[in-house]
Amino acid sequence: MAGSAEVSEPVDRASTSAVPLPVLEAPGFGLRAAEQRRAALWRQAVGDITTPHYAALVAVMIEPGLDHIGVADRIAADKGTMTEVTRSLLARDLVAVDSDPRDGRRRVLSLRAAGCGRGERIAPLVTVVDELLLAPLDAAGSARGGHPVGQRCRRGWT
Amino acid sequence: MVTLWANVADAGGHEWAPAVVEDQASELNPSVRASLDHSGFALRRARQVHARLWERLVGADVTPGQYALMDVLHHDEPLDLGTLARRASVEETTAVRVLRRLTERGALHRTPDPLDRRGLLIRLTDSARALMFAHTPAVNEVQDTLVSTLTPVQRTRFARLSAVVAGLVTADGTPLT
Repeated sequence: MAGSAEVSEPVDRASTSAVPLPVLEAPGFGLRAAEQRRAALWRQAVGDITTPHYAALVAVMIEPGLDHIGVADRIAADKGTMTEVTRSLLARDLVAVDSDPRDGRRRVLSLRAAGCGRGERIAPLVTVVDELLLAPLDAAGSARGGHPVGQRCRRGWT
Repeated sequence: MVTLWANVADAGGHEWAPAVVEDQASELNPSVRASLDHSGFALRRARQVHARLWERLVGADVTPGQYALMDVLHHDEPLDLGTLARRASVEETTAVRVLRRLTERGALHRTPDPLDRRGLLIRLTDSARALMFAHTPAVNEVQDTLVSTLTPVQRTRFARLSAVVAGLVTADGTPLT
C-alpha cells in the first residue's frame, strides 16, 4: 500500500531459499535496529542503570525475597547477565544479597532504601523512553498497536 | 507494533519483564507500575530471541551486523562507509572493524571515492558473495522462525514498523539513509 506503513499484502518470503532478503524486509534486521535505538534512548534518558538493572530492581520491589534465579527468570536474564546485574546493583548499594538461612545455596536479593528511591526516580523516565521510542509510529496512524504488556501485568491479579 | 514484539518475545518461552503480583498491586509506586508497560521490555526480549536463533541456526562465523553489511552491499554497491553503516544499522566504528576483518578474508574491495578524495567506495568481492550466500538459507530460516507465530500480514508489518521505530524508514516506508 503506497504511502502507508500499514502493509496489507504479505511479502513473498524467501523462506528456506538462498535469496538474500533486502535488510528492510528482514524482520530480524528491523528488530535489531529498533532495539539498538531503544537502548540508545535508554542510555540518554536513564544513564548507567541499564534495562536489566532496572527490571531487577522492580522485580525485587514487587517480590521481596526473590533469589537470584527468580530475578533472572522475571527479567529474562541469562546467567552471565544476572551475575553482572547483581554485581552492579550491589556495588551501587542498591540491593543487598544474603544467603537464605534455610537453604545456603539460595542467594536472596532485597532492596536497599537507595535502590527503592533510584527505581522510583527512574520509572517516569522509562515512560519517556517509551514515548520517544514509539513516536515515529504516530505518523503511521494506528500502527502503534495495543498495550499487551499492561494486559500481561494484569494477568497475575485478575 | 508492541503487540507484535510481545508475540515474538512470548515465543521465547520465558518471562520478559517483572509482572505485578496480586498482593503487591496496590502497594507499588504508580510510576513504577506504569513503567512495567514499557514496550522496550518486549522489544529487548524479542531481540534476545533473535540472537539465540542466530546463534543456533547461523552460528558464530557471521554476525548479524556483518551479514547486514554484506546484504546492503549486495543490493546496492558501491557505497561509502557512512552510508553503508547507516543502512546496515551498524555504528561506524564497528563497521570499520568489521570491514577490516572482511577485507582480510578477501570479502571486500575498496576503491577511492571519486567524489571524496579521502573516502573509499566499498564493494563485495566474489568470495564475499560466496560467504554471504553460504549463510543465506540459515539467515532466512532465522527470519522465518522468529516470526513463525505471526500471520503473513503481521510478519510484513513487523519488519516494516520495526524499521520505522529504528528510524531507518519514514512512516510511509521511505528509506531515510
